[in-house]
Amino acid sequence: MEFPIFRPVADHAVLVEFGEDITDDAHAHVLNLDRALSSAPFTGFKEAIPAFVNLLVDFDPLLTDHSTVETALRHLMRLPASEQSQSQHREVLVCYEDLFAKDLAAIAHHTGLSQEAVINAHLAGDYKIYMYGFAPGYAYMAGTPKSIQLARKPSPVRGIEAGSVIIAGAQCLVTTLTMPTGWWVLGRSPTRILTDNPHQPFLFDVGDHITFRRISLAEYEAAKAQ
Amino acid sequence: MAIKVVSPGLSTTVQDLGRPGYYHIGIPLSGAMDRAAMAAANLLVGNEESAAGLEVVFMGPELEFMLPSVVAITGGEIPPKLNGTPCETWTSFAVKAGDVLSFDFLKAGARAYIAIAGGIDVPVVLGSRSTYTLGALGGHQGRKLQTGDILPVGSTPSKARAGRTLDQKLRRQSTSPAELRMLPGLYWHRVTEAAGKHFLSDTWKVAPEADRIGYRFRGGRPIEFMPRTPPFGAGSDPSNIVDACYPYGSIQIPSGTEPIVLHRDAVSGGGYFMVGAVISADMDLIAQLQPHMPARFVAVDMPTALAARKDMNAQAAAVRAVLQL
Repeated sequence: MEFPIFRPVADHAVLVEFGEDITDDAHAHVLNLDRALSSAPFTGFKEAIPAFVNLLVDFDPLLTDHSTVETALRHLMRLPASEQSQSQHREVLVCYEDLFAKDLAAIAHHTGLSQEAVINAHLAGDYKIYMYGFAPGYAYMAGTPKSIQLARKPSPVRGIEAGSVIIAGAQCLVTTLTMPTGWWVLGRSPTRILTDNPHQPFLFDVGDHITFRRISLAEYEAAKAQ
Repeated sequence: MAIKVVSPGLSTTVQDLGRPGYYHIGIPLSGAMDRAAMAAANLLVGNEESAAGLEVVFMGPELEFMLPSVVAITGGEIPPKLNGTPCETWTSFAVKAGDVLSFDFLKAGARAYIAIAGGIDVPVVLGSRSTYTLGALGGHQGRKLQTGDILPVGSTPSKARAGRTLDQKLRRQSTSPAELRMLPGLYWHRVTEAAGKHFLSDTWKVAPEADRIGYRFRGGRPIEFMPRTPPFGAGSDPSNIVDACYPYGSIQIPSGTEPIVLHRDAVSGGGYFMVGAVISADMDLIAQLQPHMPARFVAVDMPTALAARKDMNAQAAAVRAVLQL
């Protein structure tokens, strides 16, 4: 397949696909087009939503049409990529105590590693925020090391508590709501992701690099109490 | 001016026309599911069509007005009563302090819209007063109404007037079985030819768990997908893809059994196949489907979808022209 592919996914939206596998290269294309669009939106542009390897572009179909939008997007892609925006490095605290790490034993079982080795592998990952999705503040990261990558569970488990650190495949995220998930629960974070700032409602920007730092149950409780 | 909630109904929420522009950080559009009905109710009481009103689902609330005002009720047929006496829908009427609005059992459709002159004046959150209950955001304390809630109402606009009515032919009604026009899309090519035909020829029924997040349908034959190697990063379910944002109206079929049409409170992204999208002109109709109602999906092409959207906008302009006099 030749990328990018423009797919008319709705009468008001086109999905621009830059690849089928999660790669840094494909994601860089997504971010470049997203930035180019926000600095030079076409007539009728409404919103762009970045994901791992694709960008959804929403527009008013009575002000423009799919082929005009595709032409505008192709033009933006030919422009030199803007400066990499201020991607930040952020640290997220995580407590791996049994109380929170509901699937740690299962992950160890499926990967053949000890529980301690699973935790160390998770801590060693180099994570990057690729997209927001699913629910407010759900910042999808990729970068989970191969040794602890598992497919999603066959069906979602209900009531996984807010703050859970969950993994599936190369992905990792810290939940912000108590919700069902089919991902594997590895720990709990006290780090506040929802801010009170309307200009930046959530802690992370797409493109930010994340590292996890291990904390004890006492440190978790102290951080929560703050 | 304020409204006192005597009893809340099943799931009554404050909604306006929505909160666009935050989908990229996981916050959905929200707002009235039947936008045309909400906009018309507002225009009937002399508000801007984007003012906040109440969305009533299946079973109406009981509300007491604390000061005189002008009210209008549109949308599905949940017959309203003022102090126990039936009152007109799609027509503005005056209320006095102490008057009580209540509702009879649902007769048709699924959602009614209540507008009050001045609009429900809850705080604006990220550009909208709409309630997003899943995220506990906006509306009245981020949730559906409860007994005892007091809803503030904005100052009465000069255009507020009782007795304004919308002609029958400008009220959009859904049909039964509902025909939902859809654009086959993104992953239609991964649905087998036979399954694609079944999807369009089978009669589906609205599932009981259909809500503001998505309308789920069941009763059609299971959808089979072409065999393939899952891309790196996707799950093993054949309906899994690498995560992408779901546009408003998109149809996903987790496990190939029950299509879900994502609506105003949709989660913005995830890893399930989108086999297409219901055209934007038919999204309001979905809001008026009751559980167990039959529905069919009808494939259309892009020009048809765009023509339908033009018609919808022309209809909205006609409503505006009549009611803003």
